[in-house]
Amino acid sequence: MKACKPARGIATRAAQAFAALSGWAISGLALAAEWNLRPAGSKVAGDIHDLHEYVMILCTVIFVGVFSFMFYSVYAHRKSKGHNAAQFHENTTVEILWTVIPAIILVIIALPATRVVIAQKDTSNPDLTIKVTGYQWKWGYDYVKGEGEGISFISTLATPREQIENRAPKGENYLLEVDNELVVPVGKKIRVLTTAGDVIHSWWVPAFGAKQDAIPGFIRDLWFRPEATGTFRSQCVELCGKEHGFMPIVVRVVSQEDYSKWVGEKMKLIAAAADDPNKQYALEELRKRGEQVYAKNCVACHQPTGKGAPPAFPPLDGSKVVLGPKEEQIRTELNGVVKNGTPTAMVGFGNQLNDVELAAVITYTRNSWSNKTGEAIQPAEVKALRK
Amino acid sequence: MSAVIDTHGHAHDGHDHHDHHGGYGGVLRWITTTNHKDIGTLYLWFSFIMFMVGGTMAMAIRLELFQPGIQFFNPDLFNQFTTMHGLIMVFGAIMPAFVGFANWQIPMMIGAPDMAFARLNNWSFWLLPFAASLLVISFFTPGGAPGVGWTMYAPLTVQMGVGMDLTIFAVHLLGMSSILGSINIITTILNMRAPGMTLMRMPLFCWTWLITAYLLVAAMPVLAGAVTMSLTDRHFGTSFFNAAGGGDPVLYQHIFWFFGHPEVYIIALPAFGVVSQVIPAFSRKPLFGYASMVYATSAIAILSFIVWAHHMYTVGMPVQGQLFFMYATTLIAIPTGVKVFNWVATMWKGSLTFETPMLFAIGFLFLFTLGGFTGLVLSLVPIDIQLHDTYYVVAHFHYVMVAGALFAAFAGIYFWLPKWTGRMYDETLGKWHFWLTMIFFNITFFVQHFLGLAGMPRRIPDYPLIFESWNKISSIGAFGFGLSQLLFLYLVLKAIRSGEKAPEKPWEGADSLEWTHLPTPAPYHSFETPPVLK
Amino acid sequence: MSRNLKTALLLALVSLSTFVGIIAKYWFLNGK
Repeated sequence: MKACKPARGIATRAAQAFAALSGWAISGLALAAEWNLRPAGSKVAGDIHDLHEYVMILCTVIFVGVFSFMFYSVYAHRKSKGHNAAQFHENTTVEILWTVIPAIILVIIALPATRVVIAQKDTSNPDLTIKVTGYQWKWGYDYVKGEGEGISFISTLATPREQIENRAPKGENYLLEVDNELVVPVGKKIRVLTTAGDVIHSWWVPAFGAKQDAIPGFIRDLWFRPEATGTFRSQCVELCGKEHGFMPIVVRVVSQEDYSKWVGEKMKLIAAAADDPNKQYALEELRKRGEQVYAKNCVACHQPTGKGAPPAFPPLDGSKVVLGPKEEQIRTELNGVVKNGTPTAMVGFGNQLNDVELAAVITYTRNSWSNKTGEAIQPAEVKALRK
Repeated sequence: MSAVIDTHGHAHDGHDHHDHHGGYGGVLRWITTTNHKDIGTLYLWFSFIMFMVGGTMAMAIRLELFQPGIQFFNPDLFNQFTTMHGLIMVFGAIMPAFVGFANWQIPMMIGAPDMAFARLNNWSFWLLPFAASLLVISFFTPGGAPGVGWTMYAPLTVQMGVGMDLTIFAVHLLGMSSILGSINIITTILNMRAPGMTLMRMPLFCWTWLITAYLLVAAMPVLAGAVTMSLTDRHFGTSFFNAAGGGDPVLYQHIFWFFGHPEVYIIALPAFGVVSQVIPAFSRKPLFGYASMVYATSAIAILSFIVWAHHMYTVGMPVQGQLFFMYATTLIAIPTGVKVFNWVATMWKGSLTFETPMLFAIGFLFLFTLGGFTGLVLSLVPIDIQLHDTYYVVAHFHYVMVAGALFAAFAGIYFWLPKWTGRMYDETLGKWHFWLTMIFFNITFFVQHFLGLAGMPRRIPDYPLIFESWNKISSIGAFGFGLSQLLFLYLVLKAIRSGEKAPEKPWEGADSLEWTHLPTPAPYHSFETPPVLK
Repeated sequence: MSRNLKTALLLALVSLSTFVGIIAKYWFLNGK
């Protein structure tokens, strides 16, 4: 069936548009640097690269082979060329061949894959064990065994809101930078235990080929052995709510000496900054500290203005809870908000923030915007209401 | 709407033929119809409307993803769009489209006068607009639509507002519609074939629907179970998926994917069926290896029940589990490969013409297979560890569900529109629709493979700068793809209203009962007397 | 009872049992 020729004007214009689009696409291609898996930073990641390349080549060969037949047919067996249809519709030999040969191909793909699967699961005899806890929306790192045991911190997105909201130019590590990076020594076998404080998250470093879901109430593990120093960046990789795209993972691999130095410094810092929960703090001190805690933990939903985004995220400015009895607000902060037996997006921060931080942020909300209670909440008061 | 079916095949002249259509006219006809052709039409129009609604959400998603930064939709709303795009497309667009084909075609292809349970058929349809409204209304409830992904994992679902409950209710209704429809299809095919129409003589389209209907009966109740358990966890104090209460979040995933994997074959098998009708017709040659196609389809259906955890390789299952599911999943490549080879062998040494149905069928063959290969890549655990929950997976399933199932649906519409309406569509416009769809589809989704390999996670409204170029290209492709579907709407309406009168046999090589034993357009009631088959 | 109805009821039974069975299984398995 011959298609009618469209008017020349339309055809030319369509061709021009298509050429323009292709030019755009091609220039985009030239700019786009990312075609493949990230460079391997460990042997396992290298094995995955190799396996992927092997499978890609095999699949491409088969794909091209099969569709050469189809495209040849499209060319040579067309009615307009005068080709008349044969009427065969069976051929047992051929059918057996194209059942058995793919089966064999699958075996030669599955065998090398099996080796890597088993290697990836072997988390035995680690040099260092770190527990990673996924929270909405940040990571908690606890060094639980090995050099650095006892170090514990929260790692939060450090990219400023102005960049996300397009009010400032985006930095090179936009959405891939954190305040506290996970530091590990090169060449050592690192075992990571994953869990979560609320919903399912997933911890992943592509450079090491290691990914493991972080499941609340359960502990799973993964391992990696970084081969070279460097900084490796990644993101949470299981939908965990509103800010799922904003909780990156940054792993800094350093030499053994640098690691020991870092451990030493971290331990000193922890001791020095150890918030004394029995200390009495002044209002302004708490408020200032609370402003920082607020910026890191509350701003996404309740906004810097405290106006929130009702009805989903209530305002704190003028809020009954914030202006009401302090025990209510402390409990809300510790345990979250549950409506009719159903948890809400307001999770409890009791296991993410310490008593000083909680006291500080509550003090901040009670003394900011139009809220002027003049009250200072002390860490001891928070501690007393912890279950 | 009553203009859609004109049983007498001549141009619209304002005659009132409503007395032939069950005694009602206008809107009441469509509400009360028990005629499989009418119901097929209802399903198809509903599915197209849902395709537009889900498509609008996709445009919103790609608009936000055009550049890094948050420009248009806050992350919460973005998650709602992502979720609803998935639910609407899967349950509101693609599945009902193929049920529409089943309703129109199965009775005609087996020589039956209608479906086994004609009134149940009506209810099965009307459940759908009600359920779809619930999904859309959820956007306007406090908290909005749930932002949990179409997979609705626990315990994230527990945090959602009342929109989640509306969605769960909608899912129940959608499931019930599918189950009732499947019961109808199985009963019709098993019990109402014309004498001489043995099972192994049926068009392959009927076989694929028979098998799909069994999958639906087995799998949809499982989904219903999973979301019911989420509902009770939310409101009735159970802890199926709550660790603090003694439950396990991963249990939800097991139950969901036990449904979820057969679900993707529920989407694919009817598409295979359509393509198995179109390719032989335009090759003027019988389908190669009919019996193998039946066995391969059955094998795929059975295997689909033992592979579900390949969606869960990173939950932390023991290595033996990962290996079992990897091996079982790679096995599915064998019967699928057999089908692809058989379609190519059908074309081989045929006498080919390339009207629009054939273009879409060939496009399906090429791109669905490509999607199948990325599925093979994903089935390998070590590689999946890198690609799980990244855009590589998004690319994979859009290849098999859009370039696969949707292209097959387009092929079916172009193929059967003459039989349904007695009118031809404009072939030039049809070809434009094909090429625009083909090109823009690939621009949109091919580059997403690279995004996944490079490490871009799924379900994020904003992304690091290295992902910018591919995202820009993908978004441009998406806008083009969306606009091209408006051309489809235009040409279908144009065909129905003022298309050239179709000849009795517009497709030389088509040889199933509706083409050989019925006039064009098919009469409102066909095969009231069973056909005599040689 | 017609043959059609028998087929339909059998399939409906399968669906319903699956639904009830899954919820029941995990209800009893989890002790709650």
